[in-house]
Amino acid sequence: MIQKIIVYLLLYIIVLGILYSFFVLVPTESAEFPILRLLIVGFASVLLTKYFFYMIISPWHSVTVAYNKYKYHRNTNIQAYEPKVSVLIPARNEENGVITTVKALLKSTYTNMEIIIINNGYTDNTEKNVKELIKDYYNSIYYHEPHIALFYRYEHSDGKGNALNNGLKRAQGDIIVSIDADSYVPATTIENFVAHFRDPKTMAAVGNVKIGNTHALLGVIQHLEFIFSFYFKKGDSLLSSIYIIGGAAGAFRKEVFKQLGGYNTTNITEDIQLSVRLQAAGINSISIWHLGGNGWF
Amino acid sequence: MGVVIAMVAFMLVYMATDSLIYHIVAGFLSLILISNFFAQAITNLLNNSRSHE
Repeated sequence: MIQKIIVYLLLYIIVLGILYSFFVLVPTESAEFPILRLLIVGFASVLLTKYFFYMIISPWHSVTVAYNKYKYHRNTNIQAYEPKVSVLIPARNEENGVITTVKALLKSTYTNMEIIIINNGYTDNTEKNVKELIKDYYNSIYYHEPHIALFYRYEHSDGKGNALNNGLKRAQGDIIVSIDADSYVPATTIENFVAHFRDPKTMAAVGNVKIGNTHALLGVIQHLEFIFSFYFKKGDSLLSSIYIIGGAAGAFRKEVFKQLGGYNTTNITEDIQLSVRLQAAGINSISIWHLGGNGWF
Repeated sequence: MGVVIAMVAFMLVYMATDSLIYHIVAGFLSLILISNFFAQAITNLLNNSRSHE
């Protein structure tokens, strides 16, 4: 909390400082580093123009979401759309995190899904904990039809890409969702994802990820970074130019993998690599706002 | 709210000057404010009309 206040305070001081400087400082001509100054102004202008432009268009993403909801509710010939969803959770040394994530997913409002946990290379109790969870789940008195299927797989090869590809081989769903093992997933997340895939043109979607751990200074800074980057993703969505469908909350139609192949196994940012291939292939993707907030319908 | 107040303050400062670059920035900020205002208004309208049905 204190770190949060310090970071916010610093940012406000910087903003006020800039504001104050407009009144006090007088521009002076300097013969030193004219090229450097030109370069700075050049790059800053491009960046600022992009930010300004995105700040103008991003709010309209909410309008399109609201309009789609409105259109959906006015449609009297609504047909049920409940495709099977496969949720892939790669977990490497996530003995605690993965359990919390899976338990949160099991509380989902959408039940036509399977959860596949892929453990690749562990030195802790990930396998033991996951197997215990699965056993408890199937023995649970709460287990009833329709239920969410829960699977465990072990991947020998290193790397998240290999783990995800292993999960893809097992996946039976029409929609593939990848979620990080250290994420907290609200109950309506999968339902929200599915709602956006109602549009047959939508081939991929990305969720709105927020940083949960804002107790440390680094967490607060990352929290701010995520607020900005995910806000601008709304603009990207309107322009069909989303270039990162993050592994923390990304969803794809199965056809995408049939067309593009699986995840890259040599790249440590396999989610960005896949997103770039998606863009290159001209495949449409959208961003979801208020993911995990109030349900769509 | 804080951001909006800061932006309005910036706009007023920029508009009080004669520099061209200030006017360009002020124009952009005005567009951001107007865009946000209308987008929010239309979103609320669509959401309200759905809840009243």
